[in-house]
Amino acid sequence: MTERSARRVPPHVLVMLSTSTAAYALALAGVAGQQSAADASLAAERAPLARAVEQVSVGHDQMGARLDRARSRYAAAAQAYLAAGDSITTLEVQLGTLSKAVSAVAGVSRSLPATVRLPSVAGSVARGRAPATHATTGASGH
Amino acid sequence: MERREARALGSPLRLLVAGRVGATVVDAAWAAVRKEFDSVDRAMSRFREDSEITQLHRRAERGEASDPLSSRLRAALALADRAHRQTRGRFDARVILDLERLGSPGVRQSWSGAKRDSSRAYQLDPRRGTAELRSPIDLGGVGKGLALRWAARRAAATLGRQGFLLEAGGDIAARTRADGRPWAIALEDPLGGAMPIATCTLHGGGAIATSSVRLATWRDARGLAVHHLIDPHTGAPGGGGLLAVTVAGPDPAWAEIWSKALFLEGPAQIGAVARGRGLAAWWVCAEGSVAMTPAARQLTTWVRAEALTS
Repeated sequence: MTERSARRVPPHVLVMLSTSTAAYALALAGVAGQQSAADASLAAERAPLARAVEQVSVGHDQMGARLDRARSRYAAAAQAYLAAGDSITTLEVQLGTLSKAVSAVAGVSRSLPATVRLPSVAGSVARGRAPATHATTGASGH
Repeated sequence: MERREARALGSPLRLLVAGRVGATVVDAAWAAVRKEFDSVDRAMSRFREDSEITQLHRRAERGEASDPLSSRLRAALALADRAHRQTRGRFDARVILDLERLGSPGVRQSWSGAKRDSSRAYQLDPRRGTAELRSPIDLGGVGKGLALRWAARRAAATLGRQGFLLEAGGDIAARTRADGRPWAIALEDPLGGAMPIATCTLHGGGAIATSSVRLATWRDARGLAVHHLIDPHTGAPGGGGLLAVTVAGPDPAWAEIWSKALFLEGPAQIGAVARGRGLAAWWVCAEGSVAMTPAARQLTTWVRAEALTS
């Protein structure tokens, strides 16, 4: 009888244990709820940043592609410029020759007299009555 | 000889076709000629409110960029620009401002407040086919020459080897006659006499044009007699001492341009300039005497009274 009495937990202890367990459970639920809300808010705040990072990444890829294309175009243009360079050199040589010819002509023309007195020639133009014509050129007021 | 007549660009227009040729073919050639002159009129007439050149002026006056121009107007602007350079400024499409100032009867106020300066009258953009107009211009003379050039080509395409003569207000373009005989042309007396001052032939075709003071002469505000052949260097009527200049050559537009430019050289310089350029030119001095270049002498068949000048 004495042993049974010693193992028996007093009711007030049981009540206290139940109460503290319930309080702990409530506190735990509250903390978990608050943490969940904070996590959701943080995730929502980070979403635009994530999108921006994604866009930057896509833009970077596009810029890389553009740079590749520009590089190839530059290479093609450089090649064309080199090809044109030969033609320009030929043209310059021809211009040099032309310049020499022009200088020679200019020298000759400077050595010519400004006026040349021509000998008199007998007129071969008919005089008297005007011949028949098909049309007349004359004033128009323009 | 088949003949068709009408009016175009404010002047009489006439087509003569030599030899035996069907009326249908001549009608087709005539229709092509008329169409070409109509196109030039729509592009270059300053007397039409709906012409391209008038619209170009309106847009420039409002400070707006020009629309793409027709090939005809672009060709005329390019030719006028080239003529300005070739004639060392004797040909200038901007003299319309001086004509307006002198009270020329046919010239309307075209661009209020505009002045001619030393820069170019316009800048052509060949890539866009547009023009930036900086001053009012008149393409009347060049337009008639170009109309003759283009119409003669169209007539030749229709008539084949058939010879023809196309005359527009005193300017002439011709193609060799089928019988090989040249077209005979009279040079009008600028003093109004019935008899021409000379006659010439156009061997193998070609063109001939005259600039004369017989028409388009009026009195300015001070009562002084003035004419329409303005020297761009002075802004006043030029060529004092000359009454008319005729130029023959392969192209009617350039014949027209050179007849004007040579007229402005005056009696003292015209011979040297015309001979220097190898032009076939005749000129009539104020006292009525006629002089000509060696190239013109080869084309001349008759002369009324030649001046004894070299």
